[in-house]
Amino acid sequence: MSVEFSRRNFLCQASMGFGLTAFSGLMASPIIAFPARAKQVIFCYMSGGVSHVDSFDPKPKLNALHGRPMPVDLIRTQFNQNGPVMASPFTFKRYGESGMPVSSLFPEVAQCVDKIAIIRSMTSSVSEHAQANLFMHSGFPFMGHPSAGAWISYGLGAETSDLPGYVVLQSGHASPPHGGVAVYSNGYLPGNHQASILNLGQDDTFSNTRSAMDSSHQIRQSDFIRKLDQRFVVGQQNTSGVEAAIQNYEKALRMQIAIPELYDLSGESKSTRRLYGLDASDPEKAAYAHQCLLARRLVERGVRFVELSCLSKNIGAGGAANPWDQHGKLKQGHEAMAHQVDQPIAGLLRDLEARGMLEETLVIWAGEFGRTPFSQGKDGRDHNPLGFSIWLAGGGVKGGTIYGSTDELGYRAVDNPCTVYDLWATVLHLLGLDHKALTYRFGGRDLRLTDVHGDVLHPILA
Amino acid sequence: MGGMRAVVLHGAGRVSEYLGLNVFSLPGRRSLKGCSWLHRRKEGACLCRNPSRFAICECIGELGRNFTIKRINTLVHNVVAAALCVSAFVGSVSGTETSNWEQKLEERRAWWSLQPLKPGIHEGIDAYIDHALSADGLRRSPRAERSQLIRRLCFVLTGLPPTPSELDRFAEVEVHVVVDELLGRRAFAERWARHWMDWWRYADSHGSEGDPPVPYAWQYRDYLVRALHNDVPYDQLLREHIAGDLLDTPRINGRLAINESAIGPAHFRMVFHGFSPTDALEEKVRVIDNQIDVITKAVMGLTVACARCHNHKFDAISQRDYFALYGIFANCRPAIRSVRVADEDSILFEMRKKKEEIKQGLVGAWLEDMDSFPGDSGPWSVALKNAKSDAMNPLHAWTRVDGLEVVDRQREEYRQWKQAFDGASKMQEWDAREAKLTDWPGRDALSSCYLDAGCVRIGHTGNRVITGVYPDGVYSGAGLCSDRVATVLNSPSFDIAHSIWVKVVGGGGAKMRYVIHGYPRDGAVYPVQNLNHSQFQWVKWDTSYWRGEQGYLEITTAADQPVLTDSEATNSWFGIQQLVVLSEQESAGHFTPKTLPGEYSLPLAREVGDLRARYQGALRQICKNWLDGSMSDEEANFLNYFVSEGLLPVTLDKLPALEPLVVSYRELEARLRSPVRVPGLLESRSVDAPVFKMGNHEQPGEPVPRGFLSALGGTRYTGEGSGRLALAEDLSAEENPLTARVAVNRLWHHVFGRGIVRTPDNLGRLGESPTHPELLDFLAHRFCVEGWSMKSAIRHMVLSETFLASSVGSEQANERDPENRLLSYYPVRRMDAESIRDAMLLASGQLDRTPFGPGDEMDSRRRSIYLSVVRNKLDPLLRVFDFPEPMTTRGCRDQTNVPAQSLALMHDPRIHVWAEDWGTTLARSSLSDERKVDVMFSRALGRSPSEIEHSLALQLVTDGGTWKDLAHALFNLKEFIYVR
Repeated sequence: MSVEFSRRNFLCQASMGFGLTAFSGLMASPIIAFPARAKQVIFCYMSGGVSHVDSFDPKPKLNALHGRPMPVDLIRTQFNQNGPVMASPFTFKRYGESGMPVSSLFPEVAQCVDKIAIIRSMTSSVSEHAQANLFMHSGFPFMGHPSAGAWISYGLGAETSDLPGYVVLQSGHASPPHGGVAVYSNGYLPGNHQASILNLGQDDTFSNTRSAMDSSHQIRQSDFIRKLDQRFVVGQQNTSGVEAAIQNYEKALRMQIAIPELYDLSGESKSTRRLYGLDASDPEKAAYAHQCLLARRLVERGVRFVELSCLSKNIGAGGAANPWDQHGKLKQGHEAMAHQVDQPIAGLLRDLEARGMLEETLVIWAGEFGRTPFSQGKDGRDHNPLGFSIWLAGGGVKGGTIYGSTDELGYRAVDNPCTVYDLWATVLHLLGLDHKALTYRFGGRDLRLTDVHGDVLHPILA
Repeated sequence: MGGMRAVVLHGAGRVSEYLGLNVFSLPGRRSLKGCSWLHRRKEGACLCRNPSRFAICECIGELGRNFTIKRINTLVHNVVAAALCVSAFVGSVSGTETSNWEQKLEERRAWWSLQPLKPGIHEGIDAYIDHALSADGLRRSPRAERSQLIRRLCFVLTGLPPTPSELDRFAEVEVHVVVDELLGRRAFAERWARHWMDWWRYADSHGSEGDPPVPYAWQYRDYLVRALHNDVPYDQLLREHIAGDLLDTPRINGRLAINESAIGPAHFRMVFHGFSPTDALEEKVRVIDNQIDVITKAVMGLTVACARCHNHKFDAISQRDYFALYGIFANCRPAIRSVRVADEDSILFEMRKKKEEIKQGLVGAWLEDMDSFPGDSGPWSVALKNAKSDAMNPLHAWTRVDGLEVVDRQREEYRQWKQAFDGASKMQEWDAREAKLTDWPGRDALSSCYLDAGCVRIGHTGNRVITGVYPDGVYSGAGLCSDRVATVLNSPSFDIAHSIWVKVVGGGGAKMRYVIHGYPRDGAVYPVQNLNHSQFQWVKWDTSYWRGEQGYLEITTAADQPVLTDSEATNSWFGIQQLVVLSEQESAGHFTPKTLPGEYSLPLAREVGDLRARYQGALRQICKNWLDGSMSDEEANFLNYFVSEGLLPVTLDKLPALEPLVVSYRELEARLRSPVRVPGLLESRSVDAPVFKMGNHEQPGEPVPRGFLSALGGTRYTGEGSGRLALAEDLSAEENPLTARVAVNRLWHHVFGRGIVRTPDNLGRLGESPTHPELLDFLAHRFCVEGWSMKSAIRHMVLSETFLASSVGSEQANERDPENRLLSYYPVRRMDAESIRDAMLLASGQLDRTPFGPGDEMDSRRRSIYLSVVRNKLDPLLRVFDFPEPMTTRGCRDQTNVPAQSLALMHDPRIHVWAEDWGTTLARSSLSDERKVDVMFSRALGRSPSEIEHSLALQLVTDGGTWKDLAHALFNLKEFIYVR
């Protein structure tokens, strides 16, 4: 994406009621500071908290100490049922040219490690789902602040006039994480940057955009509305607001047309369907694969930020809002969850690459925190915000990289610890934005996605 | 989140080039939890990574890979050893800021909004507006057309469109008559209460995981509606908001028999709460930060919360100012308060007298019955069976002749334990029998009372005359008179150590918790005890998880927990004797809780005949002592055993003579009025809070005296109580120029669509300057003089020619003042979310005008103000039209203009239902089709259709469409959602 292009895009958006405040703010400060490496983001959110020591951060020491008390001081846990050290029930193998170790939970993603940069030293500041979800999305552990997707939509606009800039996909029985839709909020940013939640229902349509009337009806009705609206504007001065509303009405009509086309998968080949696992017998896996495929179709059409939602298998405290939350039955729960997302996500990476889109699409895989290396109860793990793993792939990311580390127990990040601010600073950097310059004045402060923190993680950049 | 709110200390680059480590010690903690790292960055600025529990990790990241944990540990060790030096280093950084600060503060005090109100130079609003217009060679547009004006007035004042009959009627009368009628309607109060709710971030739930309700939050909304309807002066409402529960002469609502003023502080409780935080103090700090933020923005248009970590970057607000306010709110605790006002004293007095008579009746009946001891009826066989296996049971000795030694031994053990326990040195101890807990927050003669041993609970329904006889203690229900009385009892604050022991009794779901830093929700590490046992018991909690934190004990009736309320449970009760806090050593082994149900040291005999005589004798003696008021604790417990097991006659069928007494007692109880509960605060103490270095709660500094902002006089609050009462006075004082300016600017904003200061929540340096500063002062001054009447101020505004002007601007105006800052014409604006929804319901004839009461679900047809504001499930239709997330003050909502709004109007299923119902009603009506079109235009747009519009509308319906299609189309018109 060239700088020129995005500037033109701002102008175009501004005339569409894209929020003049944002527009003037952007022109005043050089937020586009770097050549953009990525144009769009797909955020695979693993709500509930994936255990890093069971997935991307092997800790042989846990095998050695299995069943023994933790040899270090522990911070307070949310459930205060701290058991002994628990070895991972999964085995790790090295993959790809980089030789990056991945556990048996993710055999398909493992094949893609050379496209992936893993951050093994991620940290969060809270050990509770709702606040950690809000923190991971917005940089603040409470509601009222814009989600990263909203910031990116605000910073770059959408490259489509027929679809929103920030889309959250759900399918089957997926639901928002703890914290509710506030996790996807535009906060104090203008309302058009709020996530549009597109729920892939049984009949493959978006309930909130589907026409309730048949189309000839709607054409007549919209004709009536258009004529009366024009009469309303005539004779008034300074009706830019009303005019913009009229344009928005037209845009809404166009979106209705765009959406059935977006949903129509008849053009996707059998091999693509197989690649994603769209016809898997596991209904949750098929549903998640559907989201992955739709994510590709959305970014193809210029949507800026797409977030996917896991589906719960209801194992070990992992409910609809926190499917990965295995306070008990970690092995069964993580197996089922990984089975749901592994092939669809690997399929997405391969498909994007095959279509030449991976270069400009940043894929992020993260939960709100990791899990403790010691057990909770007999076979679960509690929340651990002190150190956990997330990964990025595609647009501008150096594949095969391992960045940072946790201690030998996987308890705390020790080497190059990262914050959520570092993550989003890096993501904004890849999108060509300076995280310190992307601000919005609210409540007497120029607020940022990265608050007053954040360092771009240059070692993971290509 | 204090930990993450770090500051970049500009100009601190003089700190020499070395790694600074600031270590402070917390009692009992040896971890590195409180480390803050300062290091010099290449570009010269010194970034302070505010300490969080991960500070050590971040630091290693900054230092690079060479630093191993071991080396860091060594370093930390060395620095700790030289802690003085490190402190000095940090001091020098903050010292630099302070030395400039006095000078800065002085400069900043000159800011326009802090200056006294200037007396008016003109008469009336129009003179000010016209003066500014003529200076630019502009003139005000002529008056708007009458029907437009009526629609404008109706929306601005009531948030609802005019009905066709109102349109006709209002067209015939003077404008001021219309205005007065609209101001007198409840719809006015509903409209403006909703504005008020934006200022104070009204919410019905706390958010986060679980998103629990703020119990009874809706009472605050109803309070606002009533207050605005009655035009309660603004300054009075402010006093009530800060300290309405503490006012000497509160506002009493005689009709509802409630103390209106005491509802004011409910907004304090509408905070976001995290779920089961592991750092409870951090949560408390964040909650108070939000309270300070909302109060200072809403009342004074100041962003005081920006000064939590450092002195304000732009305004005359120091970090000490922040903590002077922080201390006030840190002295308060969340609680449910009952605002019922009723003359209950006399009823309670009568009930106590009746109790005494019932007691005498009981004793008479029991003494007659005593010879049959022990009986052989059902309860006896059960009791004897249970007693056999339980050496602590008062009847144990009766059940086994060979068990006397066991009984002796057990009782001796108990005596020894009790002696040891009573004699042990405890970290903290409160004994209801000695201190009567009179210093406990929430202790109040109309809810809890100290009672002597032998107090009874009368059965409030059914066959039971009494349900128990209890030892001395502090009891709910104004002393066990009624389980319906709302009772909240809090202990003073104490340091949490190894364990907490409480000796309590209770039933009906009364709840007891230990509360850490005021956190009101439950969780795995925030346990709650439901009290459902009819004998006193020791409840013990292991609190080692929270060692070193501040906590208190809270016992409440079931419907009176700050968050965990069971509002259905209207009958519950409790009593407390002792609260003990023990440290590690004291909690060792032998200190497990012991309760002897019948703590009565009955002299035991070795032979059955003798034993019978002794039991009978003991009971006789106890009854006698009971009557003359000399009963001991042990005797009460002993007797309670026989009462609660039903071994003595306690039911009406066996005591028919007592029936009239019990009936009249129950009648008296029925006369007690049910509590009216509201979310509120309890005053707990009068102490100053320490300043938190760089906003970090793990680095407490010197205490800051509580008081008001230094730029506004800086009064110190040294009297009794939290300081809220004094703050209420300072905020509403006429010498405080911000309060009146902010208030009239907020009203102006809602009348004209934007304020004279366009940033109504910020009159500081980052806010906008007033477009008409003299007008603002004129209005503010007039507001104070006219007794802070909001209705009068609004009336004054809407009757100005400026308001009544047409919404069409002249060509010159468009050229010279394209933003219409000078208000040469009335600005066209989109209606807010609630008005759009309410207008659809009203136009389609489906608006349910029922006021007040608990909030509704989204499918309600009441006005939007009566919908619940559930943080995690905000109404998507309202949200898309910029209904704010309730997190902070919103004096000026966004006015976004996005396709999602069109999509919502097209597709929201509720809108389809409303259109459908309107269409169906019309289709059934006997009006001609032509007339139906007229009616629909009139209801939706407040005007008749033009000829072309009329034929287009008819065409839409007759050409294969329905009346619903037309209704839905009208909702989708821009004219429907814009006011001009």
